[in-house]
Amino acid sequence: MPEKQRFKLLYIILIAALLGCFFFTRAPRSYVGVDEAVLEKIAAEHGRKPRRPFIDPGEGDILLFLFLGAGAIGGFMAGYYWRSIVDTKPDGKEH
Amino acid sequence: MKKVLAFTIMMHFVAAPAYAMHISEGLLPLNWAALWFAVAAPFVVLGVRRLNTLAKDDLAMKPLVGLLAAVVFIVSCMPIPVPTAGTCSHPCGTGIAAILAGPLIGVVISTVSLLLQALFLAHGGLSTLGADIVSMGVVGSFAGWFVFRGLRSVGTSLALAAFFAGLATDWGTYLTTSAELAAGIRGTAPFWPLATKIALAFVPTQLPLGILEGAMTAGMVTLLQRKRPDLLVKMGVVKESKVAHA
Repeated sequence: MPEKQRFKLLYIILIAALLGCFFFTRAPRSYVGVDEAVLEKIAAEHGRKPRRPFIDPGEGDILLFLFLGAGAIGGFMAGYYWRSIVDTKPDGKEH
Repeated sequence: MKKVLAFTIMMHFVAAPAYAMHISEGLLPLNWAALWFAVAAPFVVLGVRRLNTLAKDDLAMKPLVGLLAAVVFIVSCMPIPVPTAGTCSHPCGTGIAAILAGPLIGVVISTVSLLLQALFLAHGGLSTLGADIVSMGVVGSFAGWFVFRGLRSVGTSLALAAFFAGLATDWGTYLTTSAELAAGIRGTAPFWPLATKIALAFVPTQLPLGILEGAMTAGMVTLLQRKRPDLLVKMGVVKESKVAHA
């Protein structure tokens, strides 16, 4: 099988397998961010507890807002630079 | 192909909570936090120098570095649900940066991303920034870069080499995080059993996420190879003579 087709097939299998895992997994589905839930848990077993961050986003949806804002700015930057890369010819001229 | 399929089916039956992501504020004792800053510092300084040299030599590199910075920032703070573990974790993205712009640029990009995340997103800590730079920036970038260069030198295709580079970046980062955390929190307990325990706890999350990161890295490198092969030639990723066949 040609390499391109092999890779396409591999991607399809991986995506199907991941979706299958999602619906049929036996794992507990808390989907908690493991930096909070687990790293801190194992550290607590050894007497280390996390401190609040220096700039504390507090409770409520502030953190959600910050992540959304960061994602939007990062996405805009990625799109902007991607466009300037693919719209530029190797000689430096724009299409 | 059969091995990958067998592995993913096997992952259905590995059900356990997992440990991952950046090390939170205050988890490492001050002496360990300071040590990791000291380890990270020379790589950051060399990376900034390399970035300045690149920017002076070729203005066309700026959009590429900007794109990579945005990708690393987004990818490394994006929680992805991992069904095999029932938790969320994130890829690193530093493998892509290391392949396309060099490992030292990867260190600088991850330093900026980690600093912004620690300051404004409560994602990782400021005191643990050095440890996070070493695991994600230094080990992630260099592991990806060495694997990519090594595989390319023995004639592996561009996509396959990039896939394994992404895999090495992800797994290398989390192995290093295990070692850093174990060293910092172990107290009088022996290091290796604790480091192994943390590393094994990473497995249900990071094995599939590493594969995802490998696929993502391969996808981005091959896409750039199609769109701007000259950039890859300029960065020494592919040889000019092989652009048509890479």
